[in-house]
Amino acid sequence: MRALAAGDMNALATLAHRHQQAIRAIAYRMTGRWDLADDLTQETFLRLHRSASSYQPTAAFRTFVHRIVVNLALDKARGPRVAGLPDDMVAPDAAGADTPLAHQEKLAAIRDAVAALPERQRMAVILHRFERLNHQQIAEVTGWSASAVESLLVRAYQELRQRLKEWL
Amino acid sequence: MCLDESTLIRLVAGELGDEQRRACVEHVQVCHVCRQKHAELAATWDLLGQWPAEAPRRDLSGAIVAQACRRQSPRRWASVAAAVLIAGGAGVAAGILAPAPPAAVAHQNVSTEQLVQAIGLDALGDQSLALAGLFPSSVPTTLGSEEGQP
Repeated sequence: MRALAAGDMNALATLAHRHQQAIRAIAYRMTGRWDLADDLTQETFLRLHRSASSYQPTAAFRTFVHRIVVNLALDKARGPRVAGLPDDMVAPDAAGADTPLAHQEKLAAIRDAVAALPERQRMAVILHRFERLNHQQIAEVTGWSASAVESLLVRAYQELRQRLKEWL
Repeated sequence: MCLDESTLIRLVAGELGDEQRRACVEHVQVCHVCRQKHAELAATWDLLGQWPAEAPRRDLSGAIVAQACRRQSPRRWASVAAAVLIAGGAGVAAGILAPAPPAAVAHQNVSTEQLVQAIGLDALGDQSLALAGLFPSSVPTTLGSEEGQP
């Protein structure tokens, strides 16, 4: 970050190269679309670039980057709803098109169940289950209180259990 | 007394310390209600884990750096872009005019930095680094002497 603050654009390329996949995954799970995830990922690193000169290493760098993408993704989720793409324009998940139909249906059910959560619950679950952040880390990244994180996760997992009942 | 939902979530996620974990596991084994809730939560946890988010492979770092340069200084970016076009044109022309390489020319990979220097973009200073993402990390080329010769 020091190099980036000094105007070294190679440092930005290195940081982007190193962290982009994790950031894209969060953005994808939050938006459900790879094109939007790419936009949010780019914006995350552009904000990182802009804030490099004022960066204080008081938190882990990963926490710092997560905080940016979380805020962007929540803003996006709160904004006007983006029209969904036709199914054939949505990139298949990594499991690929060759997997059995039942598995594809299961993945779609999981994706839909997560997408149906209110945005704060959705973000809490994404950070907890997929990014493997603990309660305290989620509170640091989101700026929510520990009790808020706890309650969001309880409600989110209850909702998911309900929605995914037939797959459990 | 039954475990609260949040504790069960921490248990499933592996967030509890050893002692607390042991106590919870012991309770879950003897409490039917908690055992049921724990099983459902664990199943939900496992099911969610089956959702992959591996992006169609795409490296955004070049686009990010290019956009950062554009936002930082649009005029300097324009000069960098112009230099790229000129250098690219020169490279194509050189490729057309150059004689075919001898059969036994040694191949080597040239790094992005070497490529930037070779086409004179290093004169642009820091902005030349913005080009890093526009090239593959190394470029196979035919620089070098014929094999076996000094």
